[in-house]
Amino acid sequence: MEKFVFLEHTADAKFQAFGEAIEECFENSALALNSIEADLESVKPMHKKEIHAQGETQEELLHRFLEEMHFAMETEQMLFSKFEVKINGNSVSAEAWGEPIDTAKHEIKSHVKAITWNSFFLKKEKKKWVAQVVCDT
Amino acid sequence: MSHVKKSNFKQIKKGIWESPKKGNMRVPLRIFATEKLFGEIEEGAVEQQKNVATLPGIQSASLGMPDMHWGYGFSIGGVAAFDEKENGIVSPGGVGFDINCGVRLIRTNLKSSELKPKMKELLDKLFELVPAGVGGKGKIRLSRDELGEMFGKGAEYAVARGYGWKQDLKCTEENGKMENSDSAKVSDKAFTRGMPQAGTLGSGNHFVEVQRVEEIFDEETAEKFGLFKGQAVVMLHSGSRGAGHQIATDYISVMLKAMEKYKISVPDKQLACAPISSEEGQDYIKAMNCGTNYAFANRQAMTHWIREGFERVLGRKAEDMEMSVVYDICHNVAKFEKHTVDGKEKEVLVHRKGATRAMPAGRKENPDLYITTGHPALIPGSMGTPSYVLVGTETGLKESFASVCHGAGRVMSRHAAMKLKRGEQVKKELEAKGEVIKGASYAGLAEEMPEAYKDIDEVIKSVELSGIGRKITKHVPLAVMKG
Repeated sequence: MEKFVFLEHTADAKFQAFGEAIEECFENSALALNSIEADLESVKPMHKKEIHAQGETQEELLHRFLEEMHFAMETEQMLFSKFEVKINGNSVSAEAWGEPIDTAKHEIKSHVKAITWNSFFLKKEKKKWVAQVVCDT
Repeated sequence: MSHVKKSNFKQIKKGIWESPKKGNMRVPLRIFATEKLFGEIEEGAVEQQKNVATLPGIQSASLGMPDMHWGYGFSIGGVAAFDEKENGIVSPGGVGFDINCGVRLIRTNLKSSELKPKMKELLDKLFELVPAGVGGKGKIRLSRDELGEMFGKGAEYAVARGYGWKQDLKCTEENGKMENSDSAKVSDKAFTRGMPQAGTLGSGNHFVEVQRVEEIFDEETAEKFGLFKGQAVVMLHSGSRGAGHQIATDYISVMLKAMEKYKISVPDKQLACAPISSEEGQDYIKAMNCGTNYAFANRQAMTHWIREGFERVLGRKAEDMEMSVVYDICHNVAKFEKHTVDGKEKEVLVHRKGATRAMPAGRKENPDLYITTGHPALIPGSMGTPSYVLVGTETGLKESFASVCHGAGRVMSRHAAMKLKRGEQVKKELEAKGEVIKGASYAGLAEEMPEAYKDIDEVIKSVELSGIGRKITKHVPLAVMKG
């Protein structure tokens, strides 16, 4: 199964991420978010950062999780390439693995300003979970 | 992406296209464009501006500027005014994540020909002095208290810290400071993002550009703006960075909850909003004004470094080179203004998301210096294409809540642009045209290639055809520093 795909959007970066389990869909969403900013092949999972979020619905939980992930990326100046997500009711706890941004090593593609609510969804289709996200870049 | 369905629209006046209200729309949709440009507008952008027409308290019409394109929530290039007395709302999505993304124009008394031999050196110096790029850390290290002060005082705070001249404030919209702000309404997260980024340019389409004034369309007004043919000027395009992005993110969450409370439903969650009169609405306005002030202060600090760059390379004082600010103006903001709607004067909250205010002569929003001309409305081109200075008109005041376009408007996604050409190639092509260019990353250059944007000349033609603005000068790029 594909982890994520980018879709056309004039102003911004739009993607769909997939997973057999909801946790995997969260992980692949985080992977897609990081890959907007840089080519992740060059990002080694060297340092761990814990990410926590809460949401009243599964959709809100994913949105908050991505917001927290983005906040960590910007304020810690990190890129992440490996994730382990645990969901417990209304909470998500995740380990994100990556390394500090180093422009000599990582080719920076663009910078995400925010995770928008435009066309945002998380749903289960037959056998897989699908998330759709538009990021303002 | 499919283009606009023309059959749904009628050209009601020259260059003004109207789609009547339908379904849940409270007002019609009006788009300002030449026939050519109108035909190229994406249906997705039209749908988004129709969604805006459903919001409570909207006045007159939901508006699309000629550079409108597909965004999220509001289209980019969307304008809408709301009346508090008719349960009108305020929407963070109608301002955008980059609160007070805006433009500043700095003049010189130099002819561009005098600068030419030094252009590469000048660009390198600006790149060294103005902090830019993805995650670019600032040179101003602010404590939390200092940032709180900057949120409250805007450009005035930067001047007090020695960045720029006192007289710069008189040539900045709102004197560089929105009064109704309260940093207690700004989250810890926004403080955390804002502290290291003060005075930085940012990435995306933000830039510092040295330009030549190529054409003058109105000698008298241009002279009042301090502009002459062949002159070297500097245009700066930037916003409120992570602080503004976080304020918007936080308040969209607040509004999503508030909508249940106030029984408002919206067709797109990104349009999340609350009544202007509500606590949530008032809190957002105060926090938004902090973001606006932060961006004014950023452009003020960068003005100082731009002057320093000129001084170091040319060996003259900025004062001798008469490097004063022509104007500084927001194009992502919501402001309370008096407008006449259906023959009645009202105070409305005008949301401009990717649209520039253009108040005509006589309006009190103009600084004293420009009261007889109307303030300059600064319209940046995309990288490698011309920029314009416009002024507002009485027609604009009537038809567009005194708003014009904010740039060229994208036609190609950033990803599509990067697939089409590599950054190295974009740089080579622009250099072949005689421009000097420097970017923080090649990918950044690729996504901003000229082909990714609408034809700015056609956008300006649309403004003039519909009569909502008048062109004063046209500038061409000589050297570009891209974040």
